[in-house]
Amino acid sequence: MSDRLPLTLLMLALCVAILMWLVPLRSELAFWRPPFVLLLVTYWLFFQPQYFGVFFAWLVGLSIDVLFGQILGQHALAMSVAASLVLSQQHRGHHFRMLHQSIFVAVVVLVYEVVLLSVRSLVEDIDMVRPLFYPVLSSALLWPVLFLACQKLHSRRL
Amino acid sequence: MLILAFVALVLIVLDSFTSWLNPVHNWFEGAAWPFYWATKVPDNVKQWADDSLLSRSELRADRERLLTELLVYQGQLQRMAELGAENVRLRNLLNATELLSDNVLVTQLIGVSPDPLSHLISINRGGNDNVFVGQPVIDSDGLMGQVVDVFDDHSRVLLITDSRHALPVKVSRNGLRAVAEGIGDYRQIRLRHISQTQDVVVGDSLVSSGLGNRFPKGYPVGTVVEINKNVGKDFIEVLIEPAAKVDRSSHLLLVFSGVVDLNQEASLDQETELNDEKEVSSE
Repeated sequence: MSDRLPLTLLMLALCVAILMWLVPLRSELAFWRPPFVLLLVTYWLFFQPQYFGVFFAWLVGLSIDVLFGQILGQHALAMSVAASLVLSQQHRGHHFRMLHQSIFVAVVVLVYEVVLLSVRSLVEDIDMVRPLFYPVLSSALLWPVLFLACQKLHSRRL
Repeated sequence: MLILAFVALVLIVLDSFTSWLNPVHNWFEGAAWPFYWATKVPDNVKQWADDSLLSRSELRADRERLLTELLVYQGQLQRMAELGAENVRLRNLLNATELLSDNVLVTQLIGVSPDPLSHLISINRGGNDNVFVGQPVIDSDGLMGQVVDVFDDHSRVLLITDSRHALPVKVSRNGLRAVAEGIGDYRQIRLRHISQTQDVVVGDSLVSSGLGNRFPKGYPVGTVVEINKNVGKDFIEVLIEPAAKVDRSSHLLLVFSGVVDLNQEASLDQETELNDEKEVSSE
């Protein structure tokens, strides 16, 4: 079964991730929202690298830009940089324990946020430091839950 | 990977510094629609439940309360009519020739930007309802923001709390003019360039001054909640709490302001009166 990609499931998961990223939150919580789409892509790159590559991440990023972005290409750039980081550690990642995975995800999210914010600071003057670390922390904390959910989905399918 | 990153960088530069990619934004604007709609589903269900699952006694209590409120407001309105007339007479005396008359269009919030750093919302009125770029948006308590992108059946509003937004205001107590800018916090905006000696105190209420011809005059903007004087700095820091419920309101009003010449209006009134008489006589 595992030689064919379940495209519908993939699209569905992506849509759910985008929705979780979109749902309006209270203004204090909004800074803490982890980049769900990046986390999903990270999972796929980590555990299904035979199907997914940097180009896929780039494409997902670009579609987010096209749908919701203010500057085209910002998510594409951040996604592809984060994806290449994930892929470079992928062969090791299989053997990571949950804690190590969480820490690694935190680094990936940090890289992603830094790229996104630096792109945005090209055209806007924004307060860089404060909001940067919240999603990093929340992603690391949420990763085990997401990981288990994704794994369950995949094992049911295969 | 390098090629992809390069392509992304080129796109970023093109989109930041030129307007060549705007058509792309416009094409795909509609595609984001289902997502925004889906995020509103829980809200809509809750609202539907609130609206339709009310008991008879609750409805009666509501009706009672609304009738009382109506009575109170009507009472106040009577005074308003008198005051309005007086205002017109005084303006006539001062040779002021224009009077602002605002029409509003009710609109609903349909989407909020997922990015906590940009305070943008989407509303369900667009070019088909004659919404235009730069149009002011208010809620029941005060000024919310202005329209920045108009599409056919929806548009995007930049809130006054966004760090890219600034608007001319005045202190309603003494008419002191200032510029209020957003700082990316839904609870606070800030006055720019207020010197140590200018007369602003905590509790002052600020209204839009109408300068800049973007926002109409006299809409409440906020209340001064904090003043920080730092001896080493040229300007004091004045923090304002927005009057509008910027992060909570879901029913908003689009303001169509028209400048009406007072003399014209007077003549219009006479004409309509004449017409009325005619109608009466023809009957």
